[in-house]
Amino acid sequence: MISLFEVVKRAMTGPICSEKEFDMEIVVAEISRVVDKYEIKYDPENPIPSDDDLADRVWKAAVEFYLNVGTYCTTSERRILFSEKEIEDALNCANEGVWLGEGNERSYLKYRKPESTERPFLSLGAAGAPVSTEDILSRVARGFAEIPISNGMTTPGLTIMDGRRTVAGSPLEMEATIRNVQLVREACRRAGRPGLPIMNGIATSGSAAATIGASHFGMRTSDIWELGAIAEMKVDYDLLSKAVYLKAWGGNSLGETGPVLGGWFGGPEGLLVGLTAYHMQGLMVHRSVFQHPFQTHFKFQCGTGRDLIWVFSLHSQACSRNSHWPVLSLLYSAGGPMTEMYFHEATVWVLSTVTGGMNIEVGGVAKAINLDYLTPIEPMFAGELALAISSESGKNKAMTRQQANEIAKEILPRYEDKIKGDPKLILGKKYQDLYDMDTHRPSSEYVDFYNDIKKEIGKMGIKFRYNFLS
Amino acid sequence: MSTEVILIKLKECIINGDKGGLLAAVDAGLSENLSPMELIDKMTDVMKEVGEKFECGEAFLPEMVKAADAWKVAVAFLEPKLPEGQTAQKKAGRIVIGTVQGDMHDLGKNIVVAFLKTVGFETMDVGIDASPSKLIDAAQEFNADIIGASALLTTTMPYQGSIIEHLEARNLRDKFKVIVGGGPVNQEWADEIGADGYASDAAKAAKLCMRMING
Repeated sequence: MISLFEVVKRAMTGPICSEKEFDMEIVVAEISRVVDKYEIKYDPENPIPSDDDLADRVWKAAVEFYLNVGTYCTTSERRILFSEKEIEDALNCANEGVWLGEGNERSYLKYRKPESTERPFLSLGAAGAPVSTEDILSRVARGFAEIPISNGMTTPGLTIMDGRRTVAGSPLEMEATIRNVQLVREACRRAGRPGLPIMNGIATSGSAAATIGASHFGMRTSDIWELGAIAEMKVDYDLLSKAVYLKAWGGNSLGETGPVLGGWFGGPEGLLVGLTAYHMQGLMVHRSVFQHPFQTHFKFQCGTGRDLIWVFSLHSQACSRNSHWPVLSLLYSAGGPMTEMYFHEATVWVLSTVTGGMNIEVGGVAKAINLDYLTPIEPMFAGELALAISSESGKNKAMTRQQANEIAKEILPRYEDKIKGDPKLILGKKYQDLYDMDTHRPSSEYVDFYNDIKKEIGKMGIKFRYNFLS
Repeated sequence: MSTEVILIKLKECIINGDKGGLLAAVDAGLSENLSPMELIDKMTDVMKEVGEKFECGEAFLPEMVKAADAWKVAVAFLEPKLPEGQTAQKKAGRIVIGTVQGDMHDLGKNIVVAFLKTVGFETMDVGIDASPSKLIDAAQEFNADIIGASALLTTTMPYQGSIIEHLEARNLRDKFKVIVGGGPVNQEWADEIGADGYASDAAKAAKLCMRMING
C-alpha cells in the first residue's frame, strides 16, 4: 500500500483547488454522475434491501467516485489523488481484522459478511456523549465495562471539570482529556475488566496536541484513536499529524466518517455512495484499522430515519461484499434512556447493520448532545440483539436481510414521525434518575421497562439468550 | 419571449443553478419591460421555494448553494439598474457568520448561509475556527446587523459566550445582535451566555434573523 508519507507529500504537492470548487464542482458533480451511471435509487418500501447487485453497483460507484475526487486537504488547499492501481492495492493489502484490548479482554474485530453467523464485535458505550461531572463519567463508564458481552467501550466526554466547562484548544481541554482516560481506566478496573479497550480515544480531545499529550496517561496501543474526516471528503494537517504520531507509536485509529444526509452528498443515494467512498479514504489517508461510519440527518441529527436505515444497510452490504477491511458502524438515536423510541430505533438499526455484515458501536443515545442522558442499558440491549440475530441465532443460520426488512417495516412506523417532533418529548431520563447512586444498579422501573421491551421485540421472532437484569 | 415564459425560465435557471441562463432570462425580462425590482422579487420568491423544498427533503445543500449563487449573480447584475435609493436587500439585512474557534464543522453553518440567502440576506461567511475577534472585526468591516456563531462540539460552545464577552469589552455589544446554533446548543445555553437568539435549524435561523431585522 502507498506509504503514509507519500499521502502527506501529496497533501503538500497535489493539485491546488479552492474548497468551494472542491465542494461544488468536484464532489457534487461527481456524486450526481455516478449515482445516475450506476442507477442507484432509494426505495423507502424496503429499508433493508436484499439486492446484491445493487450493493455491488454502490461499491463500483464509490470506487469510481473516490478515484475521480480523492481527498481534500483544507490546510494546504490541495487534493490528494490516487490511481486505480493504488486504490486496488490498498484494498488488497488491507487488514482483515485487528486485535484490541489486553489480557482476558483481548478480542478480535474482524470483517464480516452479510447474514453472517460470525459474532459481531460489540463496542458498547457512550460515543463521546457529554456528562456533567467526573463522578457521573466514572459511574457510567464502570456500568459500560460491566456489560458481560462487550468487547470494547466508547467513553463519555468530560465537558465540565471542577465546575468549569472545558474549552477546546485550551489548557482545560488537555487536563480534561487526561482525566477522561484515567477515570475510564479506573472504571474498567473496578468492573473487573482492566484490559477492555477504549474505542474512542480520546472523547474529550479535539486537537492533535491534546490527543498526543493524553496518550501518555493511560492510553494503550491496543486501544483505538478517533481520526474524524471533515465533511465531506476532507482532512487537514491536524488529522494527518495524529496519523503520523499513531503510526510511529504503534497505535490504532479508526476512520471516523459522519456524512450528513442533505449535505454535500445530497439525498440518500449520494450519501450512500459518498459514505462508501469514505471506506477508501479511511484506509488510505487516515491509515486506520477499520472504517467507522455514523451518518446522520442534517436536521434531526440521528441515523435512524427510514432513509438513513436504507443507507446504513446498503453501505454495510456494499463494503462487506466487496472489501475485507472491517467496518464498525455507529448508532446515533433520537430517543433517550427509558423511551420506547430508543429501543425501537436501536432494533431497526441493529437489524440493518448486523445483517449487512457490520460490527457495531452503540452508541450516541439522545443524539449524544444532552448532558447525562445515557445509561449502560441502552447499548446492552443493542449488543444482546446483535448476538441474537447473528452468532446466537441457532441452527447455524443468521437472520436474513429479508427477515430483517419485514421487522423493520413493522417497527419504523412506530417511531419515524416522532423524529420530527419535539426532541424534549423523546429525551427520556438522565442516568442519575435511572440508577441508584449507591449501588450502581438500575431502578426497578427501568429493569421492568427493559424486560417488557425485550418481550415485545422477542414476539417478532428474535430469541434473546441473556437476562442480565433479572 | 412572453412574460410568462420568462418567469418560467427564471425559475428553471435558479433551480438548476444556471447562471448564464438566468442572466439571459433577466435580460429578456428587462426587454419585456419588467422592472429590475419586479425581477428581483420574482427571483426571491423562487429562492424561498427552494428553501421550502430543502425543508421537506426534496432539495439538499448542493441545490441550495447552486440556486443562491445564481441568484446572487443576477441580483448583482440588476442592482445598478434600480432607481436611486432603492436596493435589492431592502427587506433583509447583513450577517457575518462562522463556526467558532477550535471547531472544524461547517456543514450546518453552510446550510444556514444558503437559507439566509434565500430570504435576501447579505452574508459574509468567515469559515471555520473563527475566533471572537475574527467574527467581530468582520462584522464591523461588513457593517453587519447580526453575528451568527455555530458550534458542533460541547467543548467549543464556550467560544460562543466569548464572542459576547469580547463585544462587551470593546463596547460593541449594542451594535450587533448575536445568534447561536449547532448540535449541542439550545435555548438555555443561548440565555446563559446572553445571546440574542438561538435556532435549532437553518430555516428557523433565517426566520429568526428576519424577525431581528424587521422587529
